[in-house]
Amino acid sequence: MNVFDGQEAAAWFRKTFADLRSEVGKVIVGQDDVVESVLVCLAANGHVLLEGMPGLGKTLLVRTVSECLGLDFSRIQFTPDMMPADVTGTNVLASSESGQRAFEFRKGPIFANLVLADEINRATPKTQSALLEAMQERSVTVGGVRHELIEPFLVMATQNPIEQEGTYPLPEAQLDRFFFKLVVPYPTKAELAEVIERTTGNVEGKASVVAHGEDVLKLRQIVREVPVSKEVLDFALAIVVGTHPEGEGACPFATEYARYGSSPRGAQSIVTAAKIFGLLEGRFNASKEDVKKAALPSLRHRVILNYGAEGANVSPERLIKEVVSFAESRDRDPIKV
Amino acid sequence: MGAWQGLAVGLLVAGVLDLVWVGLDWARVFYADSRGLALIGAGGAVAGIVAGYLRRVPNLVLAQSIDRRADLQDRLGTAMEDRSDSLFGAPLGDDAVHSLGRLSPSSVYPVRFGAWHIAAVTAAVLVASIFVLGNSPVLRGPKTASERAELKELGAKVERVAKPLEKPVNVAQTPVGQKKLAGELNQFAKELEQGKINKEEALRKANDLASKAEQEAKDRGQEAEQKLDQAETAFTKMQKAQLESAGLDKQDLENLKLTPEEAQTLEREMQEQGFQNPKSSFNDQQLSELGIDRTTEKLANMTPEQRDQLRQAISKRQEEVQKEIDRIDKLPEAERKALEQQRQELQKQSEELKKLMDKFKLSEEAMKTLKEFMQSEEMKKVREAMQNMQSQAQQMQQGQKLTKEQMDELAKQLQASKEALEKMAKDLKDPELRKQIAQQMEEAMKQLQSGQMSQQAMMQMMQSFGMQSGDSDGEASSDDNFADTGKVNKSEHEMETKGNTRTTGVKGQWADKGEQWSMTIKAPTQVGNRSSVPYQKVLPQYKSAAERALSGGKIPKEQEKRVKEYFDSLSGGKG
Repeated sequence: MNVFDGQEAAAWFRKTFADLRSEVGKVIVGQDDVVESVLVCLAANGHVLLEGMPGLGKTLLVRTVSECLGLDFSRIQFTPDMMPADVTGTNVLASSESGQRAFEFRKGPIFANLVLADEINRATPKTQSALLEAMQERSVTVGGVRHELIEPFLVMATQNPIEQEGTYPLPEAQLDRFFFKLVVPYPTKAELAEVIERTTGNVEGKASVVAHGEDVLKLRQIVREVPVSKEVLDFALAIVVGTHPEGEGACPFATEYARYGSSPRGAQSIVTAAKIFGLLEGRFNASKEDVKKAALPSLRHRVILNYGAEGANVSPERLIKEVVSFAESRDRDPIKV
Repeated sequence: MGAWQGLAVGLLVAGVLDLVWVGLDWARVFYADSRGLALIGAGGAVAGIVAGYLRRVPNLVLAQSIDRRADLQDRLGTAMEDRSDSLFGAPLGDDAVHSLGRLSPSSVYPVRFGAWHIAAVTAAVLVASIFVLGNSPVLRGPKTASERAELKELGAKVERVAKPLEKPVNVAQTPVGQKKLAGELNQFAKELEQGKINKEEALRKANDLASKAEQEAKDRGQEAEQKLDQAETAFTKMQKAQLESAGLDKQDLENLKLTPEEAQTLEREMQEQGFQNPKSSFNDQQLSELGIDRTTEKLANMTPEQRDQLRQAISKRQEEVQKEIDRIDKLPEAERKALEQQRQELQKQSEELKKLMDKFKLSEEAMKTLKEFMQSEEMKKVREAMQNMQSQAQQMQQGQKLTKEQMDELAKQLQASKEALEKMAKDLKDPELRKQIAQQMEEAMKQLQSGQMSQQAMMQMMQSFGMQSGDSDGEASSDDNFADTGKVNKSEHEMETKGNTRTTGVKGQWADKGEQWSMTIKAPTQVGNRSSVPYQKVLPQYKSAAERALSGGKIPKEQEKRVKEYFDSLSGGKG
């Protein structure tokens, strides 16, 4: 890297991030945290799962981000009858100008920089698997031929928490592939007023391109350079280990209510996100506060609750909060005065 | 900052120790006193401050702590790790330095009450509460309160008894045993004052202490006797040296020695003359040191008149023998031969008598020197003092008490001996021996004084408990209660008594309790009337057994009062 020094790199990162946020903000009203988190996933090279009620602007958000970056965008509306080939693409018989016929690979919608997998839980597991394989491997294999996806590549999936009939909830192993799971909240009254004003009037917000694919790659490179102290790392790992119902460092609350804790991907996600939060805060390091902030979106889809939790109405969010508190309680000032 | 925390930790540790102590105090295992508790607290605080001040904290730990306290978002901790190859290493370092520069140490580590301080204060409060509650009259009933008051009073008395033992005025170095006894008495006094002991236990303990004091006095007596033996040896050596210096060397003394034949002749002659030798000036040990026997000493010890008489008798006897020899010589050859053996014997006898006459002369000179030295006033004083002290030491060893008069007499004799030895100093050949004698005698005196003090202390303590001491000989005690008031009226007039006794009444101010009478009855001990075990020693056990029997319903109801009264009367009418 070192095209520029640390100060400049951090300044450029913040500016680019701020520009993107500001540009997205021209179209999306409110939802600041969600917007920021989506951009964090972009900078962290991680896919994002958005969960929220219909009509909250999930699709618009993804589309706007792609517009701001000037990247290829494709949207896949998942339905139960959708086949994997509808996602990855397929070989079709095509005639050449000389009249020869041959199979030719026709790329599916996955071949884009930004992919919106809308209502992913409506697709069958088979189709979901095709998408998730692409997300992990960043390539698809069709007819024995491997096709690399283009970089930057980011999948933004949405799912609807209601209308469970006819849906196929994502298996835990597949959920683990998402960097963040974001819950899109209802807008506030003021935000709703602004949404109504923009969508029912003549003036429509339009986002312009403020960064490009190369910038996204550069953002990711800068993030990797952010230092994390051993102490902060220990704290992040204490949170992850704390979600495990058994073993050393387990939080008693997790022992009671968790069936499975977070995978190592959860720790990767927390640390990477903490680095980004640190940079955005104007620092050159990740702090424990950043780790705490990153814990909820990173882990809420990675912990699996047991029946006891369901009975006691314990949500993953509550469990993560308890685990974070537990880790904090064990992280004491080494000098007692 | 470290010192502030160290203070709290030190105080807490001290507080925990104090808690253990007051806990033991509460359980009557090991008694606590406020000064000791405070000393532990202060010691802990000082040790904590020093340890805290000297303790060094690693830089990384300090950085992590400041990060937390100043909310520096882990800037310092991260910067402290090596980031030289990182893109953000330099700006992170600058950022950390800049952030640190904005802080003041007092804002990061303000002087405040932390958990350690709260714990230390809590421990101190607990200690104080337990100690105060354990010694407070609030929680006691009226009966217990009155018993406690009585015990407290006894404690004060015992404390007064222990004081002179602890720091005796006239003894430079207190013997270890006496010090220990004083310590035990003090401890006993504290237990009584704090009411951590019941009356039965107190009586039992008082008896134990009395036995210890008795043993201590015996030990002191033994020690005194040893010192006196050493003084005696030095004394004998001094005599010998003195004789030698007077020109009476060993050879002279050897020459003076009589052969068995000479001794036999002398004895016979003395018997025939009906001599009554004056009392010997030397004891066996002295004679042995000088290398002469009793018969020789008799020869030397004659009066001038006896000496003349014997000389004449021997001369006469010699003449008779010579006449007999001459008569034999004049006999015809055959007759003379028959009497030759008799003649030889007479010849031998004559020679022995001659030698004896020679030794008369020698003994006269030797004994003159010896007597001059041995029978000097100074030597007599020293010897007398030594013998007296030896006798008192033996008395003490046998468990008999020394009276104040005896001790005063000994002190006077010791003083006179010292003066006599001083006086002799210029005439003595070996002044070191004189010093040794004086020193050993003084040591012996100290031992006797110490033993006597232990005996007196115990007597007073036992009197405080309403009991007479073990084998009291009826001597007046030198009670300090009378000594300090300045109102003592020792009338010393004899009161009307029955039998062969002498009673002295003493009226005086007894501390702040008003005027009291003390009676001293001096009477000879009647042989055969003493029990083999003083009843005071067994009284507490018997009393406690009786009380157990009373409380267990083993005594008929109509007899209970009688039994109780009987034991009360034995222990001076007190409970």
